[in-house]
Amino acid sequence: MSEGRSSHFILGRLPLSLMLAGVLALVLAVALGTVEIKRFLVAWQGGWTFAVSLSIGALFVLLFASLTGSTWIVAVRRVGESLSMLFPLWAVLAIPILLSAPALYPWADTERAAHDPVLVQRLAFMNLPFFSLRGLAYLGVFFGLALLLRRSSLAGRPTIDRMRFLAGPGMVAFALCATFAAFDWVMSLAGTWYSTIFGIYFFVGAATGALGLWLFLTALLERRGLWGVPVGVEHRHDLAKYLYTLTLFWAHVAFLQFLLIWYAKLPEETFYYAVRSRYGWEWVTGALMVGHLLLPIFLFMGRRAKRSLALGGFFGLWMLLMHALDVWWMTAPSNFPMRRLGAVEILCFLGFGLLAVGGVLRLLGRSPLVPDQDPRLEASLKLRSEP
Amino acid sequence: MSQAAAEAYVDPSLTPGELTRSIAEPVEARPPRWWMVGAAGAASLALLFVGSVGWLFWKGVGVWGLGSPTFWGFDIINMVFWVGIAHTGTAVTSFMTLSRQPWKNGINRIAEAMTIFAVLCAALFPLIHVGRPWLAYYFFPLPNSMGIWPNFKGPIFADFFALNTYLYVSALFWYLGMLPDLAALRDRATNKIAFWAYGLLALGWRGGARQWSQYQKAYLLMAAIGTPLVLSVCAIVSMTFAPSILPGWHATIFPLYFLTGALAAGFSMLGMLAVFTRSFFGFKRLITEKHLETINKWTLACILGVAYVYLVEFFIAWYSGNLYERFTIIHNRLGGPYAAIYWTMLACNVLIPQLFWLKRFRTRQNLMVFVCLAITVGMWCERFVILVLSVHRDFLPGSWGMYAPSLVEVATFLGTIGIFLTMFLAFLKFLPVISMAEVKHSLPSSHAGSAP
Amino acid sequence: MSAPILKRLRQFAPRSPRTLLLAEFPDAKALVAAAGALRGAGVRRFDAHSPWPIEGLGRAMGLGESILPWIVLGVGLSTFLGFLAFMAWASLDYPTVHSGKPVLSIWPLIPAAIEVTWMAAGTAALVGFMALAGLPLYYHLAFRSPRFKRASDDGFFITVEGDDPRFDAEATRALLERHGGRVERLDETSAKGAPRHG
Repeated sequence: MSEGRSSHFILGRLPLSLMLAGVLALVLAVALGTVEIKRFLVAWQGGWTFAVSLSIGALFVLLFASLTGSTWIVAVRRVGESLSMLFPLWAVLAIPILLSAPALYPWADTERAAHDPVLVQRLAFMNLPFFSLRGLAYLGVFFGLALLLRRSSLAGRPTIDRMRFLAGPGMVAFALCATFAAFDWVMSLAGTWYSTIFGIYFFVGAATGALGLWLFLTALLERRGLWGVPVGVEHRHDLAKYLYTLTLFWAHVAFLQFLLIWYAKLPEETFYYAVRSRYGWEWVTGALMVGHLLLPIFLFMGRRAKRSLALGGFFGLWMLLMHALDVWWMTAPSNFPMRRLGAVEILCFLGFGLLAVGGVLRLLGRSPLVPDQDPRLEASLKLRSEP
Repeated sequence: MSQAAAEAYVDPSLTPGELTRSIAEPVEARPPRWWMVGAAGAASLALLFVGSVGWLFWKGVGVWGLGSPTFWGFDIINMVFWVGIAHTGTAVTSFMTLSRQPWKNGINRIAEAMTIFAVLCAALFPLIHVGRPWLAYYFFPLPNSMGIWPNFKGPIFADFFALNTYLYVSALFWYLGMLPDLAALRDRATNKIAFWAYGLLALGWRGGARQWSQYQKAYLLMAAIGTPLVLSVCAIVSMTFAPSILPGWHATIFPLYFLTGALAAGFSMLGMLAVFTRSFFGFKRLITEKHLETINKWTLACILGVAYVYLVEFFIAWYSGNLYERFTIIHNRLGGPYAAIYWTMLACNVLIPQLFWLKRFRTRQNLMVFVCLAITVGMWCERFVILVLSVHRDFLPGSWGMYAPSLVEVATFLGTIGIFLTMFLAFLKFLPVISMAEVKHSLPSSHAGSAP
Repeated sequence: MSAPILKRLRQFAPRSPRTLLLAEFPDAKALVAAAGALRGAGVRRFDAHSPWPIEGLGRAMGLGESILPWIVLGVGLSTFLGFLAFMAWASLDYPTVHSGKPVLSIWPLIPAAIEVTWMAAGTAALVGFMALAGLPLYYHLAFRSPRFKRASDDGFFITVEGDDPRFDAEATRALLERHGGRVERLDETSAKGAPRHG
């Protein structure tokens, strides 16, 4: 039976084609990028951040589920697991960013940093060797945690109990790495700007993107009848509720970050928002407010929308797209105060997105679609929502 | 799903009838001796509040230790302290209801009571802080002959609404949850006063299926309101400080700093109150060691959140490259004149709670009370650090100064502890301390016979 | 003017029935079965009482979805928009400039508007629940039976109201007894019943 499933188009031939399409998109972006190298680098860095944030978000959700001992998520956990296993791929694709850091990061441009009164003070921390080392360490910790979770899910009971015990320290390590990764990879793009909540903003947003993809793929597999076990409306409903909550939480964090900076009106902080409210970026900011907050809040508030296969799947896909928009909004304006949107940007985000989706589907096809060694699986499949 | 997990938290041999008796009897019986002594002590302590506030009104705010540059002292420190403790009750009930966590059944009523009494204590402080409390109605956007409105853009205005809303909605939620239990007390009443009092509050509840279906919907809706309410109230309380430009106050993480700090303070206080209630009332079969362990796990999780914020604050202060940020957050805290309080805070909030990684500390009552007490002290120190250490040495060394509370301020604070304990003891005596309907609902025997 | 409106409103107020069949059942399962059978027999005005909510009982009785969420949403949303509009108007009515902020800006108004929204939505949830659940109703005929006190403790009851024009006491009693119910009949003796006190 598992033979039949993995030979199905979605888990068999599609993943590889998606990944190939992704590679093709990236190659095309490189080709177009030769015309204007910095523009390409900014787009590549955005796409890469988007992709790696999906894996970070999935890892966050998995760790949290282990920590609280959630049963409902067991049946659908393979989707998130596969997403969190993609860190090695992202590590390889980070090389162009590392090589061209001086063009992207103000502090990496040593000439410029030496004359900046703020940046010069940070050079002990923000320098290329240490930055690369830290990046490697973050990715190593992330991948190590993902691997532990994956192993325990493949092996069954003894490791699951151990995993529950490890989830606490794992979460601590994760939170620290994710926060400093956000500071390093994204926040430091904005030069002297700083915001203490930025780490949380980053990984909550990442979790909305990851859960969006998770929900979309769960719905897709159900639609094609590939689960083979009763995974269905109840699991999607819980995923959608989770995603909805995270969307609200993201909005809470995003709004307060803005409001506190708006109130204090310190020039060393406000420029981050000033850049994002003119020269074309105001449309992206507005689109985020409407698309990442207002629309999902009202469209998916009700129980019926969350439980519908089509609407629920659409909710997932929509939040994935909104997260891509959010990443673009976080990264690109720091280097391009004038908004630029063209083939290069779209190709980079599309390419990384396709790689992520293809990678997840490919890994899904390689192991049983549900963790059949997990003793909680039966309870998870019997899930019934209360009235 | 929640069924299987719920069973582990309740003694499965209990019958619904036994449950009603064991929860209702302490309410109906004559109060025990320890209660009389405790209530007398707590009420005397509460009188301290009346006395010190009376003195304050008679003499004026000069009796407090406030003065340039520290104009916010004990009044606001203690307001934030009590508000922090208050946040857990509504969070436990709403968030745990929405995420179907079965352990909340035994202790949510206690948590909600704690919330309401703590908000009441907190609300007393801004009232006396404004100096002329008889003019406090100016906060309300009331049309008046001078044609002026409050400053709606100011965060203090939102703060006023946040505190009131939190008190009001928490009380509604508490009452809604208690409704079926009040009916049970009404039905068991043996004297006229109890019958009328509980009967009036129970609204004539009959437990009909039509009523239950609306009730469950209303309860879920309240939970759906309560969860974002807790988030927003924490954020707005933090906006008493964060919108300013003072280093140590102006940090975008403040809304979540206050949230995680509030939950840590609240969970540790809840742990102590749960231990107190179960030991004195003999509720050991209803508030089990598993409940205590779960509370302590949440305390640990929130404490780790607090430690995360300390770390990020430190790092960003350095990273900002801003002289004043670095001075206030790093130098003045670690080595300034109030360093003792700061290090106490670190020890109590970061170091000692790590003991909760050990199962022994999570399940043994006396060990756990020690850790919870330490966190409560640590949280108070944290409020002190946030308040005083940011203002007593500002941008200009010429205007630096020190702050020490006067006796009147200390007495006012001790008085609110008395008020809190008095109200909590009254709650233990007069209201059902554990939600009977919810615990019965979670008993395995209550479903064995029911249709699928 | 106001009197007819009050009179008309009063017909919506919850009321105690004049005649009641009260049946006690041994457990939740019997309660659900009996409630389903009553519904099958076409009886409308009845209710099933239990100390805690019973899963499946609402379905057996054919109760629909509650409209309470829509009430709360409506009240909440209109409060949010209304209060926001009020604050915006008041900011212009008495314009002030604080620390260089514009006279009217939407952002700082949002927190207060959200708090007022929770206040209104919470009120709507409680008041709406009371209205939909027929509360408060301090006097109900069922309270006259001492047995009914166990409805809040560990007893399971069905009450069938005699106000239904097609009420057939004998047939209903037989049906309830067939499902294991111990039936008693309650009738209003005085014009104005006083709440019992036990």
